[in-house]
Amino acid sequence: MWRRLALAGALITLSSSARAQVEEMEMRGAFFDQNGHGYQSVAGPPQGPGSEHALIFEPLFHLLIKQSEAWTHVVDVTVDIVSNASIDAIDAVSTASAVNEAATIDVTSAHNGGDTTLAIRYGGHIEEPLRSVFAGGAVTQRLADDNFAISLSGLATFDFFDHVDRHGSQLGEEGRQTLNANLSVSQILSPTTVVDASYGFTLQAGTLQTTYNSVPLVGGGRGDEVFAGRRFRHAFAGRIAQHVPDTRSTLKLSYRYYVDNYDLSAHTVEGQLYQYLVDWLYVRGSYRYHWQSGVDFYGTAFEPGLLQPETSDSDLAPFTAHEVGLKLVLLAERSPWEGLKRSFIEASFYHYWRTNDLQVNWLALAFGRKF
Amino acid sequence: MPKALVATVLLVATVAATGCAIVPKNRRMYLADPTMQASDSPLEDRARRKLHNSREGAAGGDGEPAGGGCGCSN
Repeated sequence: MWRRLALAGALITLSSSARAQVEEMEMRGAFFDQNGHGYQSVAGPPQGPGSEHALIFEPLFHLLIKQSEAWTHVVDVTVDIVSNASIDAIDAVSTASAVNEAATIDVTSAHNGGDTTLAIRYGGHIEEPLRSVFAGGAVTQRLADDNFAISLSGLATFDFFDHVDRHGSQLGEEGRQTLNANLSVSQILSPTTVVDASYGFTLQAGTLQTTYNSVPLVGGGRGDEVFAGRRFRHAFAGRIAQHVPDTRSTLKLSYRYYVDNYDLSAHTVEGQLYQYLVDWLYVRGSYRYHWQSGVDFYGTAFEPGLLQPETSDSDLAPFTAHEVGLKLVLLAERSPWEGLKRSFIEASFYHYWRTNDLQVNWLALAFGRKF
Repeated sequence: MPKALVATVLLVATVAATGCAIVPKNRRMYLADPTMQASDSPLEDRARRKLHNSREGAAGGDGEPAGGGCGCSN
């Protein structure tokens, strides 16, 4: 039944050949409960900070479709149902149940030819004030009997959105363009060790600020958020994964450094420890640390009438963030239950908190199956 | 600081690319374990990335650009 359902879904989004087969599918439901305050929000005292409370339900779907020996297609669909969503924050003060919906479809079609994989990626995103399309490609070359792989990818994203000002008025349509390029390498170091490294560059142009965000003004009142023009982002990342056969454990450590021309830099470190409890059940504990300096035009009160970049968005402030997570995965393909063979079931919980008053609890349940 | 990081990344990449003995395919049993994959689940990665990108100012790179959807102006 799952196979038929998955294939029917795939055919809606992809006109593949009659030989196409669904190789794997995954369904995931995630629920987020966010609480906190930020000076960009007007859901509070006039000078802020206002509430950033939101409830988010996020169903996600994933299909891997094999069209032929060489061609595969990955289709990911994400839906967000958000209460007190950003565009509705203007009326969130009086309409606490305001809801926004968003959906994304992301398709990657890959041609696997020996040691080289060529892929194209395309899709779109839609939500209340914004429409977005993206397209790109990637090439991966495997060397040394697949011990080493190098990958180069690029993606262009075009956002079109209604200019909704901080009073809720619509002032026409605006756009934002994003170009992204990435280089990554992966190397097997031993029968139990793998390392990865990557560099990514992103250029953004167009209207970058959130048009309905506002900043508190000295002496009362609020002004518009203004960004500093084109944004150039750089991210360097490295990761090592080590398996320990004696204890049936795996340890993954990663580090990421980020810097951009808004004078924001960030260090992110994450550790994940996997431990098999039995052959078909493992638990994963994780901790993530993130520190960022904040953009150089962040503030919580600005002089009125200044024609300069200014934002009070708490996401762009200096802060430290922590995240702890726990995940339990049942690998049914190894389990004693015949009916669940080739499937997996997963439950995870994360607690994320920032030092500038934001907390998120996140619960997710997932079911997947290979065919 | 950025120069030091660039140098570190390049060093790791160079060592990774040149300094290792080849592990034959019949000795990759542990590397094929589900816990050793680059991603546990593409959907989990997507959901976590969105959580972080829409609440932190350091999106972009890592194979995924900033932009598109909520949190895009971060």
